[in-house]
Amino acid sequence: MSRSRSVLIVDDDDADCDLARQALRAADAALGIDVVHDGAQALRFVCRKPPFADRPCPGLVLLDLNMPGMDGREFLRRARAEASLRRLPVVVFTTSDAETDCVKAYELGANAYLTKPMSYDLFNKTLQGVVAFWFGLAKLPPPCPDCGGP
Amino acid sequence: MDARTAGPESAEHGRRLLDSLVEYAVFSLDGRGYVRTWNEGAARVFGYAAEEIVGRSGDRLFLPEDVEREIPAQEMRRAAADGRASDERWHRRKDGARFWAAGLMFPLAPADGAPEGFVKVVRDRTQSKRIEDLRSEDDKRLRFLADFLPTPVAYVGRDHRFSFNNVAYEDWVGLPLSEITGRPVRDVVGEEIYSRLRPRLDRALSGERCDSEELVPYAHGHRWVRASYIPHVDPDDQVLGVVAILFDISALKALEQELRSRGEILQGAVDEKTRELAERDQLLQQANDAILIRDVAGTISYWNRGAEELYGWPREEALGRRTDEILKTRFPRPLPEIQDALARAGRWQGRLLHRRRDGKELAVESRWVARRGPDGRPNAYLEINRDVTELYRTLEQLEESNRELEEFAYFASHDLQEPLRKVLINAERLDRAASADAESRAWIARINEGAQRMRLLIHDLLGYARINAAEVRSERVELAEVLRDVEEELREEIARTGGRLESGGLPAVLGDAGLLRSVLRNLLSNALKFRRPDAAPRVRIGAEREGADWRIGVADNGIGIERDKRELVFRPFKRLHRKEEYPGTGIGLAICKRAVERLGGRVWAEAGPDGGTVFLFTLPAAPEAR
Repeated sequence: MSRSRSVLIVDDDDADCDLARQALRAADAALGIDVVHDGAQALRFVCRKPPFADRPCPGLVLLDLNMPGMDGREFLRRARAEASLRRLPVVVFTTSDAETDCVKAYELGANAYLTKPMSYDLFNKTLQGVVAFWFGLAKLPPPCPDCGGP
Repeated sequence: MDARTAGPESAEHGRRLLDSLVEYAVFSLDGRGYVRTWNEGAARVFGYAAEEIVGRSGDRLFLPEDVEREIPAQEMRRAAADGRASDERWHRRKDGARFWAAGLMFPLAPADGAPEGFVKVVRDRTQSKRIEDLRSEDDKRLRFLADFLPTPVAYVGRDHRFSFNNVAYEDWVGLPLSEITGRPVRDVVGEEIYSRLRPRLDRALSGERCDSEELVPYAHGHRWVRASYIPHVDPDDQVLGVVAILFDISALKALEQELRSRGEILQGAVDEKTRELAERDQLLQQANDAILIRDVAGTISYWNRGAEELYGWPREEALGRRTDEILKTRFPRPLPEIQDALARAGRWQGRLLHRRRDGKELAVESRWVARRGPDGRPNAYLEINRDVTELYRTLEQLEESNRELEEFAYFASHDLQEPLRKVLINAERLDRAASADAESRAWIARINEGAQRMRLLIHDLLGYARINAAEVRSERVELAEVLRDVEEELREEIARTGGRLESGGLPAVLGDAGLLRSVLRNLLSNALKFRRPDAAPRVRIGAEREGADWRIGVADNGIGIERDKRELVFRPFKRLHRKEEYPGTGIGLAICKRAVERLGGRVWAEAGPDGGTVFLFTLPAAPEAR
């Protein structure tokens, strides 16, 4: 079984969620896209718990760091502590260009760290690059057996 | 004379006389050597009663071997021939025991012709002989012993003549023994010395021992001598002579002299040291640091004025008490760690919390030095404590402000950017919207410009704040290498402006490569930016030694800075020109100033040689590489 061609956007900012959705869609019209607004929801989603039991296990998580409630760092920490989620590809996508955030994210097990670009054009190009790389070039691990899902 | 044949009265008289000579054996022999008379002494000496021997041969009084050698006959012949015969020899008692005896024999009767008999007187000399034998043995031993003595020894008789000298004495006076022993002291030692010796000899001869220490001439120069003149007194208190013993104490004297002069030096050193210690104590007392000495149990034995002032405990009350008792020491580090350092290196340094007498808590920087006893184990500690309470507080404040800065930096790098990004992205989207007309697009451009500038300001502000918060290293940095890196970074800029960089003799300094790169980058980038419109930028970078520092100059041929503005340019966000003329936020020189100051130097601007500006800054020189 291979991973689904779908992205889970985890971001508390609606405007950024819209921008990201548009950019991803523009890159690949067939890409499955889901959106949640904090780490706790994201965790339920990837564990396919209600209300996300019918959603597919995402091929990639696009994770904002600073969110109210459970933030992106905590999500990473918990996901990497879970055997079934350890291989889940996670790309951090945040406004912060602070080195501490970057270092911390990789330490917590992020697969990439991207700063949200300051221009519309670059923002789109960056997410197109993400799709091209993760669903075109990179070989992704299969979902873990107990994760199942379509 | 024959006691038995003389008249009865005189015979009796003679017999008694002879019998009274109990020490002497007196007996007579006939011409053949047969005993005719035998007195009481003879009975004692030989052990025969008169009736046991009278009428028998006197040969039995001799040793058998002497009889065999006809000694008895020879004696008689000698006596007959010479009128007397004397000898000393072994004789034999009745019990067979031999004894040494002196004998004297006279012939009886006519001097001419064969005598009719002999009288013999014998005295037991065994005891005397033994004594003499011993004495001659003693003499030999004494001589042997005396000659081995390194000390000159002499025996001077009552007549002031030497009667005995040992070999060492021979060396002492430089004459052979044959020219000393038996000769008058005066002749041997000379008139001058004799005149000095004489009173002592006389005193010793009068029975009083006499000792003296003096420098005397001897055969090979002068020697220090302890002379002892010891009277030789017989049992009747008669002084028989004087034993003179000369101890050569020159070496002792030299040693004594040496010791004395060393003693003086030592005394001088001790005085000096005492003065020094007193001064040092004075210094210790006056030191601002609290200085105390305590034993292993913590009992205080020294407490200076600094300690009195710091802790509020007067010396009299602190001495004899334990440090933990009055200072209530709290250790921020585990105690075993400290004990380990003390055992290993004999010293420890670190921060402690102490309590003043009034209860106020103090932070002290404490230095401990162990003093080791003869067994190599610490037996006391010198403790020097400096009050760092204020410093500690400042440090805490600094840490607090660093934390705040961190928060600010995060705020600047994330929270300020976030809305800015929204402005920028949406302005861009608006610009692309089909409905936008030309006028709208001009406004959108203004929004964009403002947002971009805001972004730059945030970036530079962050950079400036980071200079303050950065940890500064102090290590050897080759300025030429830093410059090479910066040139590489600015390559495009240099190419675009047609700039030319010249440098030479750049030294190694003590500093932080990152901060130095920031300084040079800002100065060079300014030199390229503030160029004259009519001339390509030319930048010269050089260094001059200034005491322990290097003074580095970056000179340009640019537009220059008016004299009264040369300090102003180092203020953050201070600009002298419209941003339309020269872009930038005005933070570069402020960053330079902070960076140089944090490296222990200073920075300033002067008018350049060709109308431009020279930026100068100092940095501590790196120690010579070995």
